[in-house]
Amino acid sequence: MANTFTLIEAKTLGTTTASVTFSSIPATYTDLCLFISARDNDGGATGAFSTFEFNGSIAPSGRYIFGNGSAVSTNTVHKAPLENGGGSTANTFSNSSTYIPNYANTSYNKSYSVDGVVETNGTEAYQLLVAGLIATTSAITSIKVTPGTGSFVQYSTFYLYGIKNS
Amino acid sequence: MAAGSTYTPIATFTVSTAQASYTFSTISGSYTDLVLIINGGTTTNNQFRLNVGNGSVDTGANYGDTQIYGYSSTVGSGREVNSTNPYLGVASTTNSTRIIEFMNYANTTTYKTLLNKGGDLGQSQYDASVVVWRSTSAINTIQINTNAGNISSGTTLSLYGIAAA
Repeated sequence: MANTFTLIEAKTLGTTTASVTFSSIPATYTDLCLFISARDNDGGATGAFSTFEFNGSIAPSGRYIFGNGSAVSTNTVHKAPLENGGGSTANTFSNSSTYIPNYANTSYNKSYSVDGVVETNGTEAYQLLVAGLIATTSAITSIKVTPGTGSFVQYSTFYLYGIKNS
Repeated sequence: MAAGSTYTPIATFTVSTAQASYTFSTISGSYTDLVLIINGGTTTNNQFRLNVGNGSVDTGANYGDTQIYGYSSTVGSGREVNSTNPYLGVASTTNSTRIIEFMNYANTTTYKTLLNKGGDLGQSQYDASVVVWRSTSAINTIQINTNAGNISSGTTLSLYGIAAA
């Protein structure tokens, strides 16, 4: 695999897990990209909104556009990808990517982009687009992902990649 | 977004002094798609815009774009036709991220389409858009500019090539 898109760590859950954390992220890349495919064990018929926490304590701010198949909305509440609900169609998991450019800089706040979906072939589906901001001038060294409700279930996957622009 | 050995850096540029535009020139046609990552902003509340071309930047009325956006509690959609400088989204002094994908950019048969997404919390807006360049020429020149003012110092623009095989 090219050094421009390198797998830092892959996490495939073997059991139900309350949250997933990537820690000690090396500062050797230019950007980070996090791919998540996840489902929770709560009874939601479609899905829920996960949350991010950076560097152990930093909750980001954000702006999103959200569509559920019949309506679209925007606000500042959701800042992280979706996970499928435990009551959604069996064996369906969410799909999302989160891109964090220049995550290791120590001069300015970090921004990121999220593109995520929950599609269950049911009566409702979710699509979420997020612009996020992490208010720290420190390098991003850890990312914690927590489900919006319940816990992440077995077979949820979390892949963190580092990208170099040279 | 594709991963693996096909994701190749082409060029990156960091704005050292605020400037009105930046142009990637003589882009190789050897990839299938291009991805451009913009991380930064503008010197005041503005919009990122773009032009593309073959050999030079096309500033003719040869572009169309359609946007969806969310601002405050409002969602909406806008559209430009016969544009000379299509919309890429809002920007401000707040650091923001924008991802632009140019599909099949080197073909000489069809008009070119790009997908764009990003948001700016300085203007509290998220937007996504599609832009068409009405030309069958290959894209080998991409210019990022603004509707007014400058691209901020410290903004990075990184261009990657993705090969399908």
